[in-house]
Amino acid sequence: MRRAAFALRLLAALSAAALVAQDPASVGASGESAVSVPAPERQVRVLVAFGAGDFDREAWLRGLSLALAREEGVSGVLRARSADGYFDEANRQDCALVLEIGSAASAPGTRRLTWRYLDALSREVLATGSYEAPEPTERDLSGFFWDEVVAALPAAVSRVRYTTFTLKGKPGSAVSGFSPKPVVIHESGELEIVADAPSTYRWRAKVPGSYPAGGVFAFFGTEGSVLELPDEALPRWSFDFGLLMGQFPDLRADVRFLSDWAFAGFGLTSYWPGIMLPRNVAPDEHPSIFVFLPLVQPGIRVGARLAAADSSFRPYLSATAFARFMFPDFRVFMLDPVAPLGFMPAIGLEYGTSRKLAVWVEVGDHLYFGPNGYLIAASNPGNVLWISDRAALEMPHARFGVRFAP
Amino acid sequence: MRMKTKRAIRFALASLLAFGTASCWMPSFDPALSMSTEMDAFLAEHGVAEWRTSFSFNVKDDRWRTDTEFLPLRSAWPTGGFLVRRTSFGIGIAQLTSTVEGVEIPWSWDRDFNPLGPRTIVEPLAAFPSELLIMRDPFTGIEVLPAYSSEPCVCGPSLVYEGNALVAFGTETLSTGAENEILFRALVRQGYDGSMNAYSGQVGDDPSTAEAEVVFMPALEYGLATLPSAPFPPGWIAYDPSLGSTPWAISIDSGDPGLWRFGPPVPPDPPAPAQRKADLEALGTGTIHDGANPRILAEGPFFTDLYSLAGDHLGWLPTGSWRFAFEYWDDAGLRWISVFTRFAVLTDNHDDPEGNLAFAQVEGVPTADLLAFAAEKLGK
Repeated sequence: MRRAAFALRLLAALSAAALVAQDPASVGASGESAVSVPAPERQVRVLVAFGAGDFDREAWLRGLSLALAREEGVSGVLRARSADGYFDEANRQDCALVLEIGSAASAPGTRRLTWRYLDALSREVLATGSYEAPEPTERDLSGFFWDEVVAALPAAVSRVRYTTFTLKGKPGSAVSGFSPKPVVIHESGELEIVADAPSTYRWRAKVPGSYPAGGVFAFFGTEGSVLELPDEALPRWSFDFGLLMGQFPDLRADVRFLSDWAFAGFGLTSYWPGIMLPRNVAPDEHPSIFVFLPLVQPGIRVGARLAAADSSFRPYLSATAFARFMFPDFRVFMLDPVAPLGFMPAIGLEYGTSRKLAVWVEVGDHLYFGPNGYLIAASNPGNVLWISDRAALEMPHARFGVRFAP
Repeated sequence: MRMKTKRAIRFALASLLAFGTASCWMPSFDPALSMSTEMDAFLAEHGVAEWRTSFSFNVKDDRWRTDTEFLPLRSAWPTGGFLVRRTSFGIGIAQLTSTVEGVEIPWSWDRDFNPLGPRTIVEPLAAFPSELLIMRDPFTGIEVLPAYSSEPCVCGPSLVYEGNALVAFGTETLSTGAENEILFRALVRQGYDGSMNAYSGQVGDDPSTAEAEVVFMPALEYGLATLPSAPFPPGWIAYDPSLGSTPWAISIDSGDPGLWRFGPPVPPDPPAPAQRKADLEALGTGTIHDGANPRILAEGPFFTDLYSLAGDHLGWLPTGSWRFAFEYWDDAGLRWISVFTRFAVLTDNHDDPEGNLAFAQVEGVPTADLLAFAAEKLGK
């Protein structure tokens, strides 16, 4: 009998919810939001405020939370800490919906329950109802006792006032954090985002040709709110000034592309001049700390960075193909006949001290090719790891330097 | 202000990093070895079979590495030779013998005194294959290092006395009389009046006989002469009888290497001062022959230039790590053969008890072909 009464009330509530869902005003609001952003399944946080009454609040809240949490439109359930200031609390806690529950004993063994869904921002009543039910047991509280309240939830959620803000930025920017999937700014450069208010969003944007951006946006539902994405253009070129093993100058110019995830460029390592700190120097010897090897090593390289352009530390991989030109006594200028060509894979780490300046360090390894790998090895005995008939692999070396990105 | 301080600290840290990481690393590049590969092609095409050989062996001693060159025995089909290391700190020689069991180093010899450094002349003898001629400074005579490395004996005339100084010396190979023996020459300043005496002789000459070969050179006006009275290191001297009555030419390192000639003495007129005939790319280091005409080789770290005794630049060779060893008279072919060698240590493993793998190459090429190649490089 009791279950039958409950079922009737539930049917009535569902009908009311269906009517609310078909409310033109409500449809209009959601329809406007769909103009810009594909309407996601809306989810709200619900703040539950219990009124006065003689009941086990903890048990009721536990049961109600379980019942509400099963609903797709609910992303969280919180309990009001104070009996009167819970609207402010709801706004602070990003709860768009307030559920007031009142309860009073009626006939012996029965309890009358009143409930109201309110818009936390406007305090408008979105749905209301009451019913009598036998005094619930712990088991009832975690089950059907809340069916009518839960049934009215989707309608109430749909009537929560939709608020919007405008996202402004470079067309094509992909912004994540406001919806399950990133939204893309249209050609107009603006995008209206439907969002609950108040709410805070941790967002991140990939802006074509510009540094990625991110941050936390606190949205209070104010009309005309705008979030403007920063547009700091990515550098097109960068120039490196470095030292190979702290001894030989190393110059590079790179063009950066694919939103700064890739680069390609030209490099020149010169062994003229260089610094050499000799070991095992006899007391009466005073060798120069400068060394002049008549060799330059121009090359082209490609590489990929493994972190976004706005990261402080950016690891990268690169591969360089180079040629070796020698100019002994400046009498001839020719490809080094022993090792005319080479290849260098490298792994590096860049630390940006600013947008325009970074320091970098990398470890690379020269693989030389020539007509006789053993002649390459004989060019500096002890400096090779592997020799074949036509190639030799040198021991790894380190480079470091600074990188300017004008 | 704070930013400037931060930047200054960063700059200081970067500078420290730069100096902290500066090392004694060197790339796999030996310009001399690289340059020599062009010479390889020439030697492969023009080299003669009786001199083409190579020796692969292990060297346990680190001293046979830098500043070391290989000198083959002074005979065709050489079966060994000598490792020679000449530095300003000493001179070291080790004999290398090829046997059926491999290459052996039966003896080595060292001396911790060698002020002439790389300019010290060391040449194998033809008549005594295991012996070496050594000319060094202070030049008190010709030394011969006998087989099995005892101390060298002075086997030539003593030329330098108190107040004298060695100005230039040189060797060349004989083609007549005592084929392939070494003729040495020396120019010695006599006292302080600028006069010089030129000597020539062979190993084993009786000192009195050598003395009889002394050639008087015109005196230079001391203080006005452009020729240094006692240049150091001494230059290279060569003699060409076809050039007239004063055929001596020397290369002197007086800051910039040059080739000098002496004017003829026309008694009773005073002798003309020496004349600088040409600038040289490097000091003279050897003598080869174009027919009967001697040519001076000036060997630098990457190139060897050739000059006539009259100062004409005849060409250059991309010798690199190939070193001119000596010239050999091919009695059967009636031609001069210029012998070059190359020595390299291929590994650097201090922990290997077998030592490091080393490689010595010998090539002989007709001098006429060599001169043509040098002229071609010069564009002549």
